[in-house]
Amino acid sequence: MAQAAGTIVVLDNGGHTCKAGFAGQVDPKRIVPNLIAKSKAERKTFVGDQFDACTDFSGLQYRLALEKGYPINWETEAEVWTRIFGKDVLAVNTADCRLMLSTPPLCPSSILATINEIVFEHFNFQSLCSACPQLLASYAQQAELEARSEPQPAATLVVDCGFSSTHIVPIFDAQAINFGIRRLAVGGKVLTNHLKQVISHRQWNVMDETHMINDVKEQMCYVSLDLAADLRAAAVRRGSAITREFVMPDYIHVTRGYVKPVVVDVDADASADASADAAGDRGGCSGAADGAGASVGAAGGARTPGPPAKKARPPDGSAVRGGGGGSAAGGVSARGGEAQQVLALGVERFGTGEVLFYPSDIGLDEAGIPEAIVQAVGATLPDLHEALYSNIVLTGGTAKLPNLAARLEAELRQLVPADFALNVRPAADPIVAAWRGASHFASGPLFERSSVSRDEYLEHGHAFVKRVCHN
Amino acid sequence: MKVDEGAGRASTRQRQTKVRALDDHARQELKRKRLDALEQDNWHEDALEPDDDDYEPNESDDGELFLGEQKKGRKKSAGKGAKKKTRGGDQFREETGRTKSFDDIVDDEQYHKFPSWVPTYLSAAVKPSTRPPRKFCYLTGLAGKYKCPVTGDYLGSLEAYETHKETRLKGMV
Ligand SMILES: Nc1ncnc2c1ncn2[C@@H]1O[C@H](COP(=O)(O)OP(=O)(O)OP(=O)(O)O)[C@@H](O)[C@H]1O
Ligand SMILES: [Mg+2]
Repeated sequence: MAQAAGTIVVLDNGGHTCKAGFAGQVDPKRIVPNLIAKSKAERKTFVGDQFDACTDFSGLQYRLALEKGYPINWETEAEVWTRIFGKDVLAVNTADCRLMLSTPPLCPSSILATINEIVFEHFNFQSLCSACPQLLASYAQQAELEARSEPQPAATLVVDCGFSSTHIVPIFDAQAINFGIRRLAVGGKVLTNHLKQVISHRQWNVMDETHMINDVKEQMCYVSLDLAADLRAAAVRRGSAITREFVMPDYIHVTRGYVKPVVVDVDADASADASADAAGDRGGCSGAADGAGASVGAAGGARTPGPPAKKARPPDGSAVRGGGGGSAAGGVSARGGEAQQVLALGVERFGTGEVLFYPSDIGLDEAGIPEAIVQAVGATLPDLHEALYSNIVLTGGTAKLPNLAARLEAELRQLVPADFALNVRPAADPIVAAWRGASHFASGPLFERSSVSRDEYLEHGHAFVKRVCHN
Repeated sequence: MKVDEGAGRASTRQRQTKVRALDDHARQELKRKRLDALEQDNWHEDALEPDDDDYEPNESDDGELFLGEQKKGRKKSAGKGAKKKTRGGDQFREETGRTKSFDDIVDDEQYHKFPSWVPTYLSAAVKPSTRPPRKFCYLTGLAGKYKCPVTGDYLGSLEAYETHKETRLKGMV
């Protein structure tokens, strides 16, 4: 607890997770789920970081601190923050700290007022500086370029494809151009919930298994680079090159679901071997493990990709299509025969990401990201257009969908004047980009000037904070 | 695909077999609900007050308790305990009107009274696409080659249409 006075705490308070750490560090100390979850199975309530210890995700109830990307559920948020500042995460005495906090763009002033009250009157921080995460992500890019002593771009267009929504924020002269900000209702949350509905409609009822389906999304989904071809491939009746199977966790034997390695030839006997796959697979799914795992049956474990900390699981292939499955490895195979629940994903693997490009696919009456970018840029001064198009930074966790940047650039090319340069660059680490920018900014010379002290707040009130922090 | 419903807790997953038959109005309603559902979390407020004694709230005050440890000398009491753990929670609820949804908060801001050139949460919403909506089969996700004359749904194959007839159209034709 013995912190030097004035320690700067940095929070990027997102709808999915709150990234928490200290100014000047490269990465957040901890990424904390921004929620309270209640597990019927474990008869426990998990607050923030405690959720990492949850092992049974069936029938979880969530209460999120943010709605549509804006913090409104303060009962929940205050509990999560209390955990974050507490001894298990940052272990600080907030009265001895200054706070660098991300707040969503164009935040209603009543929400900003509540933030001030919580920060100054509940947690007693010495000072507050806040900025939108998209601006902060642009600072991260700046810092990276600086470190490599490369020239700074004239302007930046940040596309933050996170959990709550997708924000497009033009930035010039280290400030957000607020009349150019555009927002799509589609983010990671909508994608996961949409996938949940689609699967529940077509295969299993997984409406209560948000956590598992989110895992399915993160492990299996990708963005199509050739939609017509992928649709054709997915339409193949059996064993399309795109179809993958996801073994659902039962939270007894299998604690985390995983993607089954692909089987080349179902009829051929023992040699059920994982194949390299045509379908542009998720990093870590098959590819890497294949080479090593080409050995015989016993090495089942080596072949299974992805998440760590999984219990022993049935040798792959044995359970794929019934066929005898006389796989060697004794004890385990008994379990293999036992009710493995499998989810097959074909068109869903790329159909999910399509919603980012065509929200109308799910009945939303708004344009997709490429057109939204054109709308955002179009709202700025014409002189800025090319500079913005030539430096588009893609950030937020959903930007980790494979191919997202490439598809975006391809679609934008159709919409942007041919003589304009166009560059879509994914942030180095899309989930922590905003935090890194905040950490950099908070350890720089402008931080002091952009902060409001507790005394100033008490004397001048909310409007003053707004003037200093939200230009 | 093989199904064995007997596996552990996961057996609460059931094959989806029945889909309600829908008229046009109900279909609109369902679409609206579906869009809403994409936004919701699934917390039930009453779930905070468990009525069975063995439900064990996890204390979070001061970060002192972790995962079911019991704070010394603190009785686990159903209901009360779960409620009290939201230190200051009630206070926030009153101070901030937590029961207000985000949409209510936006309404209260009265953004429609602002001059059109002032950027607000509402004005930042992306405008509709200039392209016509695409048509995908709701059962398979593939290109929607057929349109059901009754429900207006798109279907990708005759097989999907058969399924559609047995499910959504059931009782309607
Ligand atoms: N590999 C992945 N593939 C697809 N989506 C992913 C992947 N990794 C993370 N995500 C998604 O990214 C989202 C979280 O992103 P992020 O941390 O940027 O959101 P946030 O900052 O908490 O929320 P907000 O949108 O409110 O800022 C989640 O919906 C998560 O499912
Ligand atoms: Mg974010």
